[in-house]
Amino acid sequence: MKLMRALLSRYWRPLLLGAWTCALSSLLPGRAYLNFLRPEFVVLLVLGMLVLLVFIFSAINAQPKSFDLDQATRVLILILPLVCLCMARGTTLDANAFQRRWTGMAGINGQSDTVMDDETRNVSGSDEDIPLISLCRWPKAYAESTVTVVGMLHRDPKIAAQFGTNACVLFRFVINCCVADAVPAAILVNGIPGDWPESTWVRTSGRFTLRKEGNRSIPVLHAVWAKQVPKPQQPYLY
Amino acid sequence: MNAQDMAKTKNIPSPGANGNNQPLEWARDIRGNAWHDPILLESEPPPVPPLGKSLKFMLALLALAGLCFFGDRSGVRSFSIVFVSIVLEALPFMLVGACVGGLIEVFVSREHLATHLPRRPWAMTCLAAALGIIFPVCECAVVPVVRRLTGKGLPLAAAVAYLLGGPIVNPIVAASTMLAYKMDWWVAAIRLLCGYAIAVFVALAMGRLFARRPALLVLPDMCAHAQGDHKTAAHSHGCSCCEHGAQLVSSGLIGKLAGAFRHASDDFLAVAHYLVIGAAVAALAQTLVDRRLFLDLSALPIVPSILMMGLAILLNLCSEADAFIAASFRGFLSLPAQMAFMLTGPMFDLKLLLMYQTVFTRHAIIALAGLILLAVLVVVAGLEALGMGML
Repeated sequence: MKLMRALLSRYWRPLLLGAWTCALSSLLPGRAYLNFLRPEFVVLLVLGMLVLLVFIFSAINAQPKSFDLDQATRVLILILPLVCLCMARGTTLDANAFQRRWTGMAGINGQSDTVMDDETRNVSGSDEDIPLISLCRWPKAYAESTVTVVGMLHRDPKIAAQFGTNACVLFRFVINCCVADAVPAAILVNGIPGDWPESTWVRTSGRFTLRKEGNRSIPVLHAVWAKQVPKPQQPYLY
Repeated sequence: MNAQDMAKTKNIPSPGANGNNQPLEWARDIRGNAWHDPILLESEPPPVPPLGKSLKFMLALLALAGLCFFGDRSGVRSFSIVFVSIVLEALPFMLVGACVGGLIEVFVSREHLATHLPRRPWAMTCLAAALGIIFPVCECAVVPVVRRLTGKGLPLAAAVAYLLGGPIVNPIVAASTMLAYKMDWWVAAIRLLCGYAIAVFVALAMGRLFARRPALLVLPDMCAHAQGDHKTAAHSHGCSCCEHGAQLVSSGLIGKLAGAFRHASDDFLAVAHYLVIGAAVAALAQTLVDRRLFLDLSALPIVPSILMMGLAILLNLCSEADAFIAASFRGFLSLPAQMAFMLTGPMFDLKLLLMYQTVFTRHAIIALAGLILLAVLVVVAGLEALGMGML
């Protein structure tokens, strides 16, 4: 017990910092960090790892500090994100989060201009999938054309009551910095089979229209076909 | 417990105990003027963070989360993802902030700081609130930096001004706000100007309120006699409170850098658990709170602004990203309500509330929180009175 206490007094800080460094480095292979952050943050993660490595060497050379209940509590608290990181690995925000974050048709009010950047214009009209965020940002540009999109499925009784029993929402989250600030981009879809479960990833194609609701234009996709697909490599949009 | 008692418990010579050291001599600048009110750094409780309370708080939080998520695996997933993402987003900034704090501790002497800052308190405060333009920082990085600057004797008002102004009045936040609002430069301008005004007002008010009362905590590794430059002879005794002192004097640049990183590492470990607790609360709020609830009350005057301030406190978003969330409420909430969200978050949220415990006394935190919320509310009411319509 004494030996254990002495070892902890000497090494709890390097061990804790080492665990954090390992956790950060484990996010780099396969770009696992994209489940939490936008791509550009890889630079900051690497910077963080380097600083942590310096801290580890610094902590190894420092004089031992007592490992009491306070320190143990601190370690427990600092380990908690690592535990949650293991739990959250490979998962994404789903329809449950969508329900909490969706503020209605704010992102799809149809008032956006029709000017698109070159990249988006090239995608438009081709057989490739159109990012859901483009449909939300430039709905008029895509109106009355056939589009193919990938998104997650959400069924809401209110939407079914307002737009018909076949209506559901296809959404993806748009990240600005990290998942905490992710905002849903969503469109209404008609024609998805009713027995597909909530939060299913769906690829669907059909005619994209703008439905007038008061002073708003709500984007609606009338699906011609739809199929369930595995989670995309980059589940979030940026 | 006063400074001498604290020094006794640390087994270090107390200020004034040594005939060569006049009482609290370090609290005067090189011109001999009282620069950092000594009362701010004495009569403090031991600077040990209340981890027992943190543990209780964390356990209660986990229990609450367990109750809320019982049988709801989707909720647990959402909580975990958001929790980890907030920590991962803030971590590099906090590490860099800790390094800057460590470098300040070792390389910037108290005399240097006193020489280069304006002597008039209001001028110093106005300058500090705008320092983010030159040294852009987010709210996670600024806390360790301010922690070290206050240890160097930076006056309370200037410290508060940089703490509150730095995360808003900076070019990165201006750019992100413009981007979120489709290059509407005046939204960014209003945000920065209001943020600056609030930072200056709150800082001056704090300086006045705590002119005779303790507001700043003493850093655990900064004993009373070591408040000055690391190069001073008084610091080369190698006492247990600051074991690197002797090394720094003798080891040159490498030794100083090692000392800086040791300070930085200590700072990081002293503050990081508050970030984790704050992130957990924010993740819980993000998982449970339905944002549409905020829209139901949007027709009432000032109520949406108060709700948006509450949302900003709960969500704990980075000041460089919160404009995108505020912008998602366009069309439903007025600009003042969105502004309330963008002004409150970088100055005061749950994570910051906990992190401030490493810098300020409890009374100071209560006053700081009250002043920030009051100032934001007044500014937002002013914007509404000016007839700022829907964006």
